[in-house]
Amino acid sequence: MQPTERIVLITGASRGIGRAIALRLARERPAHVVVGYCMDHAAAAETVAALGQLGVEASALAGDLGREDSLNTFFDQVAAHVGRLDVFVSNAARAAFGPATELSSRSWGRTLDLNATAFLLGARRAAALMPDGGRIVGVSSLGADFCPPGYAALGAAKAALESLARYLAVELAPRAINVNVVSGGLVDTPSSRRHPDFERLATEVASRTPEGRIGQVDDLAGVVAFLCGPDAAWVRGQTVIADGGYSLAL
Amino acid sequence: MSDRPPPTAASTLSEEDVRQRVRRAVADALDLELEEVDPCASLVDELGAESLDFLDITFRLEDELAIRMPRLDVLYRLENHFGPGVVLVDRRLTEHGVVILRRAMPEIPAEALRPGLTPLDIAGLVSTETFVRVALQMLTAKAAMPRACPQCAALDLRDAKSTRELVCDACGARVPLPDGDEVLLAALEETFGDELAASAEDTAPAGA
Repeated sequence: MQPTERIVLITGASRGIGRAIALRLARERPAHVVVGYCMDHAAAAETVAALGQLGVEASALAGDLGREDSLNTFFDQVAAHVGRLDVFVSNAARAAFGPATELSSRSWGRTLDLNATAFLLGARRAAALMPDGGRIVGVSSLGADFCPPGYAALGAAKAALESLARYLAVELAPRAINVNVVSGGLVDTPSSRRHPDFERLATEVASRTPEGRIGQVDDLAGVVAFLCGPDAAWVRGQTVIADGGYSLAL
Repeated sequence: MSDRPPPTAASTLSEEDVRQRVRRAVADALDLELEEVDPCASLVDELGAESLDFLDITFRLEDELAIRMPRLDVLYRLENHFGPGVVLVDRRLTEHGVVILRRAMPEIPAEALRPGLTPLDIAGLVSTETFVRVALQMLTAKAAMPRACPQCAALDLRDAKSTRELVCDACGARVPLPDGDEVLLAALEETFGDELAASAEDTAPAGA
C-alpha cells in the first residue's frame, strides 16, 4: 500500500493531539483522512479545512465512542463513507478525575468505556475494515504507570489500553496489522489548558523534564506518524514513551 | 434512545415533546427510569450526574433532536463575552455575574444564584430544564434556516445525523446546522445588548 493510497481514521481529531496527528499524517498525502470527533463541530470543520489546504481530502464524522451502540454506528458510517481503513489512530479520550478512594463505580465504568473499551472495540472494527498491513495506534499517558493526583480512573484505563494493544498486536500480526501505542506526559493542548492549575503544573513538569519544557502536540504526532509508517513494520505491541525524558527523571 | 425519527429541517416539535425527549436522554445517560427524572431537579445533587454525564447528555440530544448543542460551558462563554473579571473573580461568581446568570439561565431559581458561588456550585444548579431551554433555542435556530438548498435551491434538505448538517438530496450540498455556541452568543447579545456591555466596562478591572 502506497502512503498516498491510504485511508486514515483518527478519533478525537478536531483539536489538540488528534488534530496534530491528522496534520502530520497529511504530509504522507493519504487518499483520505476521516476526522472523528464528538462535539466540537467547528473545530472538526476547521481541521478538515486545514487538511484540505494541505491538499488532502478529508471529512468529519461525529460519534460518541463511549457507548457500544454509538461506536458501532460511528464505524458503520465510516465503512459507508470510505469503504476501508489503512490507519486507525484511537486518540479520543475523556475521563472522570478524582482520588481512587472516592471514585464512584459509574465514573470508573464510564472512564473505562470511553478509553479502554473504545480502544478495544474501535480496533476490532477498524481491523475488520483493513487490508493486510494496516496500522493501529493507541494514545496513552504516563498515568498508566505513575500516579498523578486524581488520575486513577484514566491511568488504569490507559494501562488497560496498553495491555490490550499487546494482545491485539499478537492476534493481528498474521495479517501484518501493527498495533502500537504512544504515551506522553503533560502536553500543551486546549484540554490541558483548561485545567484550573495548568500554569503551575506546566512549570513544575517543565522543571522536572530534562529538556526543560512540557510536551507539544507535534512531539506525539511525529511518533504516531513513525508508528503508522513503513519503518515501524517490525515494531509490534509497544508503548513508545514520548515525554522528553520526564519519566526518567522522576 | 427513542425509536422516533429525529426532526427534520421542516418539522416542528412542541415544547412538551422536546421536554419529554430531553427527559428521556437524561434518563438514559444517567441509567434512571423516566419517572425518576424531575425536570427541575439538580442533575448533580439530586440525580447523581457526574462531569462525564453532561457531555453524554449533550451528545444524546444532538442525536435525538438533530441539532448542534453548544460545546462551551456557560461560564466560559460568558467570560469570553464579557471579558475577564466580570462574571467571575478568583473563580467566584460576582454580583454582576449573578445578574447576568439570572437572565441567561432563567430556569434556575433566582435565589439560588448568589455572589461567591464557584463554577462547581453553578454546575450543581443545572437541571433537565436547562437542557430543555438550550435544546429549544437550537431547534428554533434550526427552524429559522432557509428551507431551500443554498446551491441548487431545491427543497430537498434532510438531516445528516453523523455530521449534524443538512444535506441536499438533489445536489449533495451540505449545510451546517446552526452552531450551538454561536446561537447562545447571539442570544446573549440580544438579551443584554449595550446595557451590560457598558456596565461590564465599568466593572472590568483595568486592562481587562
